[in-house]
Amino acid sequence: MTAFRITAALLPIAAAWCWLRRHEVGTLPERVALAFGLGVALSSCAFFAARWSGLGPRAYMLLEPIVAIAIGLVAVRQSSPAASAPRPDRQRDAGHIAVVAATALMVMALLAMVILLRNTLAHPNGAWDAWMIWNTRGAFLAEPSGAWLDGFDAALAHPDYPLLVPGSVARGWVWVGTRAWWVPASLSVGFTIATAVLLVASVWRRQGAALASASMALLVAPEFLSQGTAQLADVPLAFYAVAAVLLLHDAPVSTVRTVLAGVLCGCAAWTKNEGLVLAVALPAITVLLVFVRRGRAVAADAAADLVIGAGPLLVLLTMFKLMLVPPNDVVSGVLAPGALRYWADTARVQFVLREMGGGLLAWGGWPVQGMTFVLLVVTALGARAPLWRVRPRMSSAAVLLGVQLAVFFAVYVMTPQSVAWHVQTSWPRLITQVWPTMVWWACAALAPDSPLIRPACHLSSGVSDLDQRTPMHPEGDLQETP
Amino acid sequence: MLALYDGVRSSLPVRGHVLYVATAPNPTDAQAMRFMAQEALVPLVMVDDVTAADAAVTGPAASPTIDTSMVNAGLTLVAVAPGGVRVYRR
Repeated sequence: MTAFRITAALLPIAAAWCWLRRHEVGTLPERVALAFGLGVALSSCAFFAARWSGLGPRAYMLLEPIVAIAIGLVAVRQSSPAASAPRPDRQRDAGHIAVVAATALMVMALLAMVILLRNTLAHPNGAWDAWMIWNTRGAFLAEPSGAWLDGFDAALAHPDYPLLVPGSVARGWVWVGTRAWWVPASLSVGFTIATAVLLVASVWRRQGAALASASMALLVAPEFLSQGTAQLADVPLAFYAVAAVLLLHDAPVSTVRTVLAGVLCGCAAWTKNEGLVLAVALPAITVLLVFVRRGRAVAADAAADLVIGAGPLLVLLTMFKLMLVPPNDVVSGVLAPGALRYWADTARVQFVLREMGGGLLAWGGWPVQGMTFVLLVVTALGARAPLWRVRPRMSSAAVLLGVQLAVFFAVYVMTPQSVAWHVQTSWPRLITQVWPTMVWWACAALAPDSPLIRPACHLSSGVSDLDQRTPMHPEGDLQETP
Repeated sequence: MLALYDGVRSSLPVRGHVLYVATAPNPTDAQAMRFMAQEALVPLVMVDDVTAADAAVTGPAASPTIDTSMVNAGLTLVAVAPGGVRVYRR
């Protein structure tokens, strides 16, 4: 019975996979990872929307599989023979390098799995914030009576936090029929694995096995793996961030991928308040760059696609924030009239800069060195060509990272909390949120011309991202660029 | 830890605000146990203000001396769980 319920709970992921396959989004591993993220996010939204509209958890359990199966069947029926054909692979590495890199990748993946399992068994209930915020709110959302709304009581910790993780945990508990510890634990590990699969598969497709292996080595820093089993919302947010970024940077660009990137931006906002920065900044940066390079018409198309994708989730989030929960304490403090005075406090600004800089260098949990050391090794491995030859199409990811870090910095300076406490307790988690995007950017953008990479297929070489929008193919969205 | 509160559920109201009385000497541990109790006792909402609460629940291994202050606040002992969690109601 439990196996049947677990299978039923996974149907939204299967439906998302059918849809992604029908639209030929990514390679098989990328598609699996994206399907996991989309299935979890959209079913979490649907679960919350159903509850808010008065539908009980049991009624939702009857409806969800029907809707998921219907979506999956429609996608399968619409699949053309061409859509089910595998995408052309790019063999970019010399044979022996590919074998060594793939072996190293497998070993790292195995080690990471062991560490994830060990961490999970050591802390089955996750980290402090998991039971203080995320799983507690999930327990409220799973409550069959009207008391589920008490989960947004101001006496509870951070009642305004978005509901992707609590909604997914609640949905899992409702399906399983009990508050099993392994539901949030599996979700947490699932997002960690999905992030790794998506990142590595994307880098492999773009740059080959050597850099894919390097990206894995960078990603699975002890700190990231620790956060990956903490049952918090930071790794899920990191997943949606890197997924949206790499979809927007895939060439040739299609309407489907742009809309999907918008959906993923919406998922990021539905995951955590910091995701709102991504949901606003990434589309804005993308549209701006497209406008500068390709003009108003193409930019308007891109903007419309992104809004269509992100819109529904952002509307749901806005309704949740305005109608159901008290205002966020940090946002209220930052927007308070007196908050600007903190910028005149140079000691405070310097303190924040010092803490953020030091934290960034020390992040990773490596026994000897921090992130910068590892980054240096990887870029040195991949870039005998000049490091500064970053592809223009990678610029929006870099700008996004800059914007995110700038917003974090501004919030810390103007925080109504104790600035030392705020920075020290949250900065490592914020780095976790941007870490996969940083790794992806380093591996996919910083080393495009490495001698280790032997270009063999020019599916997208020389093609920019949205600024090189190709005409739509009548039967799909893929059209190879000459 | 979560299972510690299974035995006291029936002694508490099904919904509403419940005072949490910390028993751990260390403030960090007390805070952690409070949040654990909160997760275990959903949909009840743990509060710090006795006047806003219809009932009270302690952390594990609570001393019977707490009963006096609870009585002064208008709460009566109704149950003691095996782990030493004490439950009071108005």
